[in-house]
Amino acid sequence: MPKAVIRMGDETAITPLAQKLRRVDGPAVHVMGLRKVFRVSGGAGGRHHRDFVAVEGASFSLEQGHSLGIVGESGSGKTTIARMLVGIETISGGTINVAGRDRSATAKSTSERRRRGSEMQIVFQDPYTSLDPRQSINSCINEVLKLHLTMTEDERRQRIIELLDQVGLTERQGIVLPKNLSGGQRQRVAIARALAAEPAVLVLDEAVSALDVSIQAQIINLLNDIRERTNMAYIFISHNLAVVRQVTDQTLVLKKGVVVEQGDTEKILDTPEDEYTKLLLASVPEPGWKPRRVGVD
Amino acid sequence: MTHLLNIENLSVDLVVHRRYRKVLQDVSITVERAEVVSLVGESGSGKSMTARSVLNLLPAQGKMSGDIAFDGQSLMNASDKDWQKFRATRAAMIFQDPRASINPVHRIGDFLTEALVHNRGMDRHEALARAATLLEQVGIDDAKRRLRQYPHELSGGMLQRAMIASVLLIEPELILADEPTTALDVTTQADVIAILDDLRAQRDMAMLFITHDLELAAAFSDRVAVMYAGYIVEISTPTQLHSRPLHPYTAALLRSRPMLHERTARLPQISGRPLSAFEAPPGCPFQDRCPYVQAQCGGSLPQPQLINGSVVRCHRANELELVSTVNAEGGHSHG
Repeated sequence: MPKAVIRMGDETAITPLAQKLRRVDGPAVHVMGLRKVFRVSGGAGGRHHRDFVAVEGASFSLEQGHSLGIVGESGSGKTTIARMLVGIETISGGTINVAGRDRSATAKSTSERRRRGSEMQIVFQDPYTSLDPRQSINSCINEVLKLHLTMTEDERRQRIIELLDQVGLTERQGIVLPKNLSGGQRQRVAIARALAAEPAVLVLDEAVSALDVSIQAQIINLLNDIRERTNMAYIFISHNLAVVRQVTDQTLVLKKGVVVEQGDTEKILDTPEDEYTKLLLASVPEPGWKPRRVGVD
Repeated sequence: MTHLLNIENLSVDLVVHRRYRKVLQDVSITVERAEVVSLVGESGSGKSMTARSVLNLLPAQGKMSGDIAFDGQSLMNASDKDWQKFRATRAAMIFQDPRASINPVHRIGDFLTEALVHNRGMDRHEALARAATLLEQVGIDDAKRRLRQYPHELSGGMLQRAMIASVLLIEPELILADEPTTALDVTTQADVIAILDDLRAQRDMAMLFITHDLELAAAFSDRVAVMYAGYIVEISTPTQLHSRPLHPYTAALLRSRPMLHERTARLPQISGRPLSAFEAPPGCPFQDRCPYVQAQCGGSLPQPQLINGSVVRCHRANELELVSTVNAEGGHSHG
């Protein structure tokens, strides 16, 4: 029976990752007036189109080593923002600047795409679908190292062990296929794979949402350890306000594509100003909670 | 007085990779009329399988032993026809994902009235009229138009309301709700829970509510059962569970939750991962992850014992003083 080995961070020496992380002058991420419009077909035979504004004028700035939460419900545009940041989705308006470089336009060359990949990596929600089921964990991380760094085979082998260790996995777990790992372990692999590229910014899209409570706590601690050690910046997308409280220092609240409130996480969660933020907070079950009927979504 | 639902020493084995594997072990719990009992636990703990067993909805070749009695009558030797009748009239299930469990090619109206027309022989028009009334009760406006729509035309929250309406239509004495709000947004979840809460007060319906959310279970139920590796490890009232948990797993689970109102420098984590029943070692199923483990824990399976009105399965329950929050000395810092 495989047993998860949970490292507490204190027993792992700081790996070269912390020193290797690229130094950036100015904010790690700077976004101005970001907008996304989807063309939706409708009507008879799809001849009529209408524009659906998924994100309307989001602006934020994130310093190196800081963590920004993007919260909202389904349809708020939070995942669309993540996808635009990493370049899976084109942008309809505004600018995105990551690690001092503009990435508002689609990358035109392979080298440009690769460079963007080395500046920003993403961890998705579902650890069961975000790893190739036929690729061993070592090979999956090795691929990223080959792509983004200049290393000898020996150096890469060493680096894989370091990365696995950093996320609390053993060397032995590196040789297996994803199906031999639990959900929490797979999410650790997804994080190790993202770290392998040594990005300045990590985008985490509901990265702990699908995990069991006891595993969620492990991954939250791991993410906080890594940020402390590497000074990496996080964009943490979540619908879970309690988790956002633990992982971020600033928060942006989205409702139907519009930013309704943004600022320090503590201030937003302790003294929210916007009615929608208040409603979100009031909807979280806690001791003494009485659910209210608010009407149909 | 007889219990509405009485599950006694229920064990379930399912075929996984052509081998029988244990998924439930010696589960005993009761649900009284108009009572809400929550089953909480992590994946593989057996909470869904417990609910499915009650309706005999286990996967093919599933084996059940022990006893399930409803209103004083054992269901263990019921025929398929009896089970069908039981499911059509006395107990019904609300599933987690309405999109996966409502037939997408049937109109909402047909989905809602199927049970009434087929099982009760009710006139279709009368059934539709009742369905429309119920849709309005669960907060769906313009019910007549909704009845003509297909599932894809409704949002997730609305479709889950339609599922609740479909269950209420047969006026069951017991509702089994399997993570009914997990796929919904928080504001919609609050709304759906409020609806369920209103309805059980008005109609005296009992509910077995399955969730992974300890807070939700506490806010909504009369009693909470915590499951781990196919066993019920603790049954308690929400207040007691949060103020004085008796099982180390309950306490650890409560402590590892991220709190909404305060940042915890480091969440107290439970090492390892949740086990399924078939992986559990002999003796206490939680021993490998338990901070209080002793030699006796690997020896024999702890039997359920009663302490201050709660049921707990732990060899050391009498001597341990457990807390549910990181700063438990000061209690909850907010409310």
